[in-house]
Formats: sequence, C-alpha cells, structure tokens
Amino acid sequence: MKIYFIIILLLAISISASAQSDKPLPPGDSPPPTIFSKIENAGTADDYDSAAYLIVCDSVINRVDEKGVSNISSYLLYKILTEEGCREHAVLKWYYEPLTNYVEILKVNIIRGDSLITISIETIIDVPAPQDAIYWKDRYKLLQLPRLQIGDGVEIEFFKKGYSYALLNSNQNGSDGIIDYTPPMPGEYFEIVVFKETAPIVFKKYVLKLPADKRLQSQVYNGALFSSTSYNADTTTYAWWGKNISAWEPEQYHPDNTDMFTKVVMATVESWEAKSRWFFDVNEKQFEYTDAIKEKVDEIFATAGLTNGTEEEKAFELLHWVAQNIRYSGQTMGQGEGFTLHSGEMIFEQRSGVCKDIAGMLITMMRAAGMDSYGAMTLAGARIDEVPADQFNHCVVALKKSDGQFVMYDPTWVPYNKDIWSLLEAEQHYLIGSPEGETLDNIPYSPPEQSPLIVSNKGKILSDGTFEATMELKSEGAVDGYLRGLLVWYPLSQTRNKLAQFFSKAGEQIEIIEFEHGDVLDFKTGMWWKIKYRLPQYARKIGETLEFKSPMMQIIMNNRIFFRGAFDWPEERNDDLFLYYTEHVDANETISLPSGYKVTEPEDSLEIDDTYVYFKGSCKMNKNSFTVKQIVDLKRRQIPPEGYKGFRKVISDGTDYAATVFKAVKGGTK
Amino acid sequence: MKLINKLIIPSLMIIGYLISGNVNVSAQISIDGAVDISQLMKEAGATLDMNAEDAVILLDSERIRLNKNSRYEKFVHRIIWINTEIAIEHYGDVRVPYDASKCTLHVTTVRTWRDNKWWETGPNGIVETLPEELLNAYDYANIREMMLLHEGIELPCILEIAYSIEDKEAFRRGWDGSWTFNRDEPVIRSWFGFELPSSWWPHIYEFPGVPAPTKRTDETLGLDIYSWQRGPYGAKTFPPPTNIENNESFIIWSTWKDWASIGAHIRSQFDEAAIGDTYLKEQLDSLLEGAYTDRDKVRLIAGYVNDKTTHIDYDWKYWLTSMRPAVKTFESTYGHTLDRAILAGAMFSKAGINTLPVFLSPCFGDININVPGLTQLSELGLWLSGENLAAYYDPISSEIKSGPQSFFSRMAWLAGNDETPNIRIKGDDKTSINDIRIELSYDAEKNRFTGTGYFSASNYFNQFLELAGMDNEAFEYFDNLVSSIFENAKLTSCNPSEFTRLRSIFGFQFEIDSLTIDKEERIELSLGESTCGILANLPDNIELFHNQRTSPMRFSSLMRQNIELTLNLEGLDLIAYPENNKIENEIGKFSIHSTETDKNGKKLTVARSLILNKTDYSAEEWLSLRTLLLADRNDNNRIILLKED
Repeated sequence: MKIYFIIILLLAISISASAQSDKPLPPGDSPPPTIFSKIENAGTADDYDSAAYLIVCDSVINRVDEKGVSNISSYLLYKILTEEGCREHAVLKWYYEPLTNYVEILKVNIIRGDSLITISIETIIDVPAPQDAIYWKDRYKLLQLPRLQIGDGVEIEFFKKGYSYALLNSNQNGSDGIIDYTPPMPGEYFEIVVFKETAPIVFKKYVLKLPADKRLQSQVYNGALFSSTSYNADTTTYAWWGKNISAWEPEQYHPDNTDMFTKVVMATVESWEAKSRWFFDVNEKQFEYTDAIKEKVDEIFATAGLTNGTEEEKAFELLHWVAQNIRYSGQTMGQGEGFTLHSGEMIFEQRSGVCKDIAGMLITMMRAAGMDSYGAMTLAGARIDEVPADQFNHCVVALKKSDGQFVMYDPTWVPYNKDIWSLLEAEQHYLIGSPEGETLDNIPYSPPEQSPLIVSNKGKILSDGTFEATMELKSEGAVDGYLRGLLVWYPLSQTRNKLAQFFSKAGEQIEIIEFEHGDVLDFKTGMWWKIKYRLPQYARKIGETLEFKSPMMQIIMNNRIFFRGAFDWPEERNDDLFLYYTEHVDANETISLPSGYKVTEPEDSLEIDDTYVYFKGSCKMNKNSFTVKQIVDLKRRQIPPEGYKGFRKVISDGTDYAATVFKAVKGGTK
Repeated sequence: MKLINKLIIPSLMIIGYLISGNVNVSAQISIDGAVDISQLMKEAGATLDMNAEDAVILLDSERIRLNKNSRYEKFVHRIIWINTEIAIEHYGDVRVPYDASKCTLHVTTVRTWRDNKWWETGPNGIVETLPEELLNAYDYANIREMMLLHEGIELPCILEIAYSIEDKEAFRRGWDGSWTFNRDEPVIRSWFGFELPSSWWPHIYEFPGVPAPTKRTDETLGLDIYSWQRGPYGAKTFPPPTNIENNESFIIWSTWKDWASIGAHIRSQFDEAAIGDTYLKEQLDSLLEGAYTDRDKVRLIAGYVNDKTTHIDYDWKYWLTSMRPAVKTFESTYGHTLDRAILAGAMFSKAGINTLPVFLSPCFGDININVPGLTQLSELGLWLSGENLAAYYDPISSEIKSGPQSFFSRMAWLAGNDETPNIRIKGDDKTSINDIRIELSYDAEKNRFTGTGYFSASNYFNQFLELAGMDNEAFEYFDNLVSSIFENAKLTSCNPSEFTRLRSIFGFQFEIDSLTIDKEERIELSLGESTCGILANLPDNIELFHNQRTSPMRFSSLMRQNIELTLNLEGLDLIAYPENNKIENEIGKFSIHSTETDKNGKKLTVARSLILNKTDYSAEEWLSLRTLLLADRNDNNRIILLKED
C-alpha cells in the first residue's frame, strides 16, 4: 500500500514539475540555476583579482541533537580560476580527530562544461595528520582528484559528527568503548563561524537546527550578515548567510582572524558562570597531589629559602619551576583529551604536556603547598566576545587570595621570562573555573613602561674612524624574555656570532670583543647584557670632517628582538596590526670624539606623538662628547587599520632619524 | 658451533663492552646492557667543559645490515646528555622517517635518565605522523614520521633511544650511504657497523684518519661484519659543511658494482618513466607553437612544468628505486624533485632536446669517486643539449640555468653517460673575472647623470643563460646590474660585443635621474657592487658578520673583480672620494685608487679591485678573507660626494 502511495506521489511531483517547466517565465525571471550554470556564470580570475579559485557555495546544516551532538552536513562548490587553483585542489583533505568526531565523504564531482564527472570515493585514504608539539593522533582523509582544468567546478558533500576538541568526560561515552561524540558539556552546543576565507566567496550559509527545548545565545561580530529564525514543533532553525565576500589576503603580524572577520558566535550554555562551574567540576579531580609532588614542592621552597616564605613568594617559585621543567610536548591521554587537564601526577612524571597540562601541574603543586588554585581558560592572540561559547585556545592558572581576589599565572608562556603572566598576553580575556562560577574577566592593559628596554651605549670614535663601545641592555616585562632568548635560543657556541648578527645592523665589520649577561635562570632580576664591541672604519673621514650615524639607533631600530616596531612596514594595510606587547625604549648614547672634534650642527630633535606610538630623538654636543637620546613607546599591542597610517609614519620617521648622518668637524667649525 | 653463532652478541654490544671495560652493574647501563653510561659521562667530564656544551653525544651508533635476500635493516642507538633548552628542542622529540608500506619500524626504547632512574616512554609517546611536506601529496602518503617523545626530561639529563627499520620484503636494487662521525655536539663514542653477505664485495671509502674497521664473519647469517669505532672528538665545525667531504671524518659505502651499473639502473628507470601520453603531446605541441629555437623550447617547457605542478620539498632519493611515470606526475599535479625531472625530461625529449639526468655535488671541488653512489651527489637536474643549446634544468625551481655556471668546479655525473663523476669546468686553475668600466657625466640642466659602460665577465661570473634569450633578458640583466652599482640607475640600452658560454662582453648606457642629495646639497654617488662579482657569488655559508668560524671555505674558482669609474666633473665640485688604499694578505688583495686628472677636462677616476688567489680557505684564514671582503663592501671605499658648481 505504502509503495503505491510513493509511486503516485512521485508521479504527481513529476507531472507537476513537467507542467511548471512548460510554463513561460515571467519577464525578468531566470530559470533556477543548475550546477552547470552556477559554475559557468560564477566568473573568471579577471573578475576576482586573479584569485586562484572561487567558493561558489559553502553551505552547512548542523542538526544538533538532545545530547548536544553536532551532525553536520556540508556542501561545497568551488570554481577553479587559475593553474594555481588546479594545483591547490589536486588533493582534497578532510581533517578529523578520531576521539571527538568523524567525517564521511558522501560525494565528489567535477563539473567540466556540461559534463559531470563523478569521482570514486573508494580511493580515499586515511592517514595520520602531520603533528608537531601536540601529538594527539589526529588524522586526515585524502582524495586525489584527476587533473583539474581552469573553469572546472568541484562539488563536495560530506558529513561530520561530533565536535572539535573540548572537554570530554570519558564516563559520558559508552562503557562498551563505542564513542557517541557527546560533547564535554552534555546537551550543550557552541560554535564560532567565520565568514571569510583566503578565496572569494559567492555565497556562504550556516544553518543550525536545535531541538525546540534548547535556547540559543548568538551574536554577529565584525560586520553584518543576513539571518533568519523559524521553528516547528520539534526544531528551531537559525540561519546566517553572506554573499559576495572578498578574499582575505593575510598580512604579516595580524591577530587571530576571529578579531577581524565577520563571524557568528553561538552557544546554548546559559552563562559564563555555568561554563566556569562546569570547567571546575570536570577537572577538579586532576589536581590531587602525590607524596612525590609534595616532596618536590618542599624541596623547591627549601632550595629557594622560602620554607617560611609568603604565598606570593612561594607561588613565584613554583610557577618558574613548572615553566622551566614541564616542556611543551603533548601526548594524548586517549579519551578525555582536549581541554581536560592531565593529572598532576601524570605530568610530574612525564615532565611534558600542552598548556592545560602545564597549568594543571602548577595548580597541583600550588595545592600541595596549601594554596587555593584553579584552572582558567583564555584566548591567546585575540579577544573573547560576550556570547559564552568556548572561545578558548589556552589554559592558565588562577590563585585565589585570602581576600577573594584572583592572581593569574601562566606557566606555559613564561619559560625564560621573569613575569608570572607574560605581558604578551595583556588585555586578554579569561574565565576561571570555580565551584561558585566566575564571569568573564580580562587582564589589564599593560603600559609600555612595564616592558622597558633600557639602553646605554658609551663609546668613542678613534681618529681612524673606528668606533669602540660598550652597550648595556636592561629589560623588564615582555622584553626580558627576548634578552634571555639571546642566550637560550641559539647554540651556546654561537652566542658571539648571534650578537654579531644583531649588531651588524650598524655595520658588517662588527667585532664583538667580549660580553657579560645576567643569570638566565634568575627570575628575580631583569635580564641584562653588557657587550663590548668595535666597528672598524665606522666614521667616514671627509677632509677635516668625521661623518657617522648613531650605532645605537642603527642597532635598536633595526632589530625586532630589541624593538618590536622594527620592520619595513608597507604603506597600506587592511588587517589589524598585532604586536603582542607594548614596549618602552629608553636609549642613551655617549660618543667621545677625537680630540678637537665637535658635532657642529646636531640634528634637530624629532618628537612625534601618535595615538599608538611615540618617538623622540635628540642629540647634543657637550664639552667633550656627543650624546644621542632616543625614546620610543609602542602604546598598544593591537593597532586597528585606521591607526596604522599614523603608526607607520612615526616608525618611518623614527627610523629615518635613526639614520641621521652626524658631522663632527675638527675645531668645531665648518 | 651453531649455538655459539646464535649466541653471538651483536657487534654493538661487543664494542660497548670494549669501550666500557669492567661494567659496573649498578651504574647507568644502556638498554642492551652493553654500555656503561656513567663511564661515558666520566669520559665526557674529563674531556669537556660540560657547562659550555648544549649537549654531549655519549654514544652514537648505527648498524646497517644487508641480508642475503636483499632486505635492508638499520639499527640506531643513541645516548645523549642534554644541558640546555636548545638541546631539548633537538633531541627531546625525535622524528624517524620511514616507508610504512614497505618497512617496519621497531622501537626498542625511548627513555630518560633522571633522578637516578629511567623514565620509559609509554605507547602514547610513540606517535605515527605524516611528514608536513607530504600532506598535499596523496601518492607519497605511505611515508611516515614516527615521533619518539621523551618523557621525564629535566635539565640536565640523559636520553637514550634505540630503534630499527627493516624492509618487509626486498625491493631495493642497490644500496649506498654514509656515516658521518661529526655531529652538532661533541661525541664520546661513535660506532658504525656494516653487514653484508660474504659473497658481496663492498665499496667503502674511509676518510684518512678514520680508524681501520674490524671485520668478522657471521657464518650463520652468512654476513661479513665491518665495524668502526671512534671517540671522543669535538662537534662539527661551524658553519656546518655543505658536503660530507668537508667533514672531518666520515665513511661512504655502497654495494653498487660500479658507476656503470648504478648509471644503467637509473637510466633504464628514468627512460621508462619519462614518457608522455597523447594528451601531454598535444599540450606540448600547443605550447611550442611559435618557438623558434631550442632555447625557447626549453624555457617554455620549464615554465609549463612549473605552472602545472607543485614541487614537493622532500628527499627524492628514496624513490630512485621506483620512479613514478611522467604522466602520473602531470595528472596528480605535484612531484618531488625526481618526479618533476622525469616529467620535464619527457617533454624535453619529445621536443627533440637531448636530455640526460645529471647528479651534482653540492659544493665546489673534487669528491671521492671510489665509491659508486649518490651520497655525495645530492643535487639532481637535467642536462639539456640541442641546437645552440647547452643548459641545466633545475627541477626544484623548474628553471633553465646557465650550463657553465651550474657545472663550474662541481662534480657532475650524467647517469648512464659518464664513466664516473667529473668536473667538467675546473675552477682551481682558472680565474673568473668581472671587469666593469663606467664613464659618467652630469647633466646639470636635467639634474641627472648619464653613463656608458663596458662589462666583461668570464668563467664562473659569466651568467650566459641569464643574458641570452628572445625576450628582454639582456636588458633586464643589465638594468639590474646598473641599479646594483648606482642607486636609482636605469638602463637605457645594452649591446653584446662578445657572447660565449665562457665569456661575455657588453656595452651599456644608463641614466641616474633620481639623485641622493643631503641637507648640504651634496650629491652622494655610491659605487656599489656588481650582481655577478665576488660578493654576489660567495658560498652560501659565508656571512660577513661572522666573528668566528671553524669550517673551511671553498670557492668555485680563482676570482678577480675590477670596477672603475671615470667621472666627468664638468658642472660639479668634488667634495670627497675614496682614499687610496691597498690591503694585501696571504690570500688575496684589495685595492682602491682614486685619481683626479685635468686631461680632456676635469675628471675623477676611482678604480676598486678585489683579487682572491685561492679556491680553498682554511677556517684560520677567515679573518684575512673577511678583511678583504669587508674592504670591498665598506662605504669609505664607495662613496663620492659632489656639489653642483
């Protein structure tokens, strides 16, 4: 009976469709597009600024079930515009994480003219993903396409179930070992969908179908999208879409793309407080300490003479022990991997892990010392928006003080840095996991003075033009890590050559005579260097005049390791500029001139104060010596596109000033 | 007897015992029980300032076994004391590449000695990954990198690693390889073993100074077993040598009978793979429409291959045993160096160009050729010859390069053609000369300089193919040259006078209309450097800022460059110019000579020259060489200041 009904229904649909197709179209209307017409009419490379390929359609329908499990049907249609596009799409790739999601490729077609070439998905291979530093056994599915041609369309349909790494309580999945991809916060769903790619997009749509009893918080950031909401008895359907979205051409030193591009952030969880409580609950048992950990904690305090020290002193010692001794190399612990912190006991033995495991070690050791410590989540390199979705990529530590306030510690970002929280993470949002439930908070702005580079360069120009000097570098804050890095990033045998490389900005003839430096493992004192060097034939002798540039300014303004703004910044920029930290450079140079020489017309001082950067350069001829002073402040770690022009001008003018040729004349007259 | 043979302790163990003498069982003992690590630590402490080292390799051992059934096995065992962060980065997580489809990797141990005990890595610390470079290369995805992650690292500590890789079935046609004793760190004990069927005759080259091997025969396995042991000795020199030949101490081995047999193998495989199909032929015909010369054809084909395929940057030598057909590379749109060479080779041949695979040494000068194999010939290209064509195709960039310069002073081997590798153009008895003479006049009305020039380049400096072509090649070349000599200079014309593969002579004209003028209205002219002279052709590992180096240097040829400027001073006042100077040392000479003359109008002549008298320089000679090179680079020897009169 049923089958007859279906046949009759199909017949009716067919007759109806046939009848419709016979009807003339109203004026101005076009027939519905076919896959062939979509590709044909999509345009060429000329229409898209020579883009390699075009995303004609990127459509996702995510059916979230009661458990919060995502069931994602994706449809992608590309058009190949150049040979580069042919090469880029020769091998299709689907990334997945076997413990939290799986992917099934349903259909791959090539559209060539009016032909549809079906690609066998039988030849898909499943391979381990390339992995570096995080070894969680992720995988790829790969499919080799036949050689593509310019103008081809590539149509892909695939299905993905599960979620991307998040907290996963192993008990929530079947005890029979079958993974049902329930998310770590059962029943809850979140997603961040960005509407921008490195290729132009004609149409992109994200549809979310939620069970009717689930409520959603969502917001569109960084631009506008089309949207709709509808419902039936079982489901609420939300949709967001965008049209004709230009390609992103990545520029150097940009923040995470979620800071810049139009995105939808969505979550079903009611509040940050709920997320905070959940984070606390799922990890609390990971911080139990063993006798061995307690012994190590006591040993650390005894070695530092802090057995009776303050909580702040002890926390400082533990932080730096963890930062120096738990290296960044993450193994999977199998089910539960993701944001679940590995147990303190495990990491104490392995002495390695990713950020969450390193944070877990510090929390465990702090608790062994009687401190009230908690795990916290943050987003390194970008902001977190208000919707309580998991906008996190990093894990840190919060220490609750007796007055109820928290102090934040990040052991992952402070190896070889004297801070307890890297100033490369200033202004960053974070969420602490606590039994009471915390709300989203953020690290305060760090003014440049917190990351100073203090430079003193005292030297003399000899009568043959050779410059001999000693440069002293002192630092704090973010810069401290860079000055320590000079000693730990390169082989010990190459320290002299590396210094020569940095100082060669003043001249390739650089000779490093000797150097001293602070103790790289002394985190109570800012790192310092004292470098004695010479630059033979540095000053140019023209008649009775010696012409020279400030060696100090050449070295500082042209080395990014000393000055974060050092870069040949292009004239135009679209992306935010992300410097990671603010910086204050205070550089002073004293140059003794050969007897009788004086700089007759010291360059006018230059002072420019922009919203985001400040530069002041000045110089003066004293009785027996010539002094140069340079102050630079990088005032924000992130500079929006509208602030870039001013930033660039100051850096450019400052760099030009640093290249000023000074003229010392014998007798002091021209 | 059989029992005794079965009980033969692996050669590594014997050597280990020999090294350690009386083994103290309570001390740190290696995984095979053969090496007393504490004894090696004592030796290290006695011979090195441990605080000044990032790491010390206590044991560095490898054993290669070639079985009678032609299966290959490699056993690796290393014990390393680490002291710094950079040592953790180098040795904490180890990547082991292997072909998962044809080989088996067996890990014996990955462990760390800390707090007087071993911390053994568990199963989650042994992770199979795909090399990053191969993610977009479906056909090569059988290659894996097994990550061996050390647990329990705390500085300082000792890391031990032992693993083996063996062929599942025999699939290789021949073997060759090397063992370098020098590493990035000092080594206390190095051991290399080489085992092969007694009936095979191995080719082994040992650098003078390598201790003689011990040889014994394993009757049961039917293998001759050679082993070498050395240590303690220092780290590899700096900057790292570009070729094994520059290492202080090494062994090269091969089972190929002779160069002819390896050549025949490569050629037969290459020729079989380098065949196109009808589609490729049609593409070629369409591509070469309007190509008049063989030089045009090879350029078009090189560009086509570059456009149609992505280069996969991964060691190609492994695939010499089984080459991928050209059609497959074209179809897949990617290829490693060998695959790209095969595809290009197929197209060159079809276009009537005589094409031969050529293997080149990465450095200048002789290499030892007693051992047939590609260990020392790490660069692969194609030698192309045709009507008025002798060129080199580089599959990595898919560009046609100058024949003479690519082969100059380098060992090259045309597989299946040459009896042995040889240097086709020797540089140590030739001088490469770059001579540039310029006359410059100032046009006060237009605020610009106009110049005429003479250019001569010979031997290594003669960039013949960069200059030759049907398009604008020579113009672009000289435009680049004049802007390198004078900032903002623009070429107006150029013309050849003599143009051969070993010498080019050109005349050229140019203008400088954007002048550098300072606050005192002084015009600054800087007599820069040639794009094909000595400074532009320094070996890759020379950096002028290096204060110290411990590795030797090898140049392609003797070298001489002269750049001479005659400046007509009409309309100009001379403020300053380079002072006369001469530096002469044991390796060469720099000189700068400026003269003002009134003959035929007031003129300034500045002549700067640099001569290098040797091709091989010891590390001790670096400072002398640096002095000469810096003199040529120094602004004092370049800048002329003028004022309008």
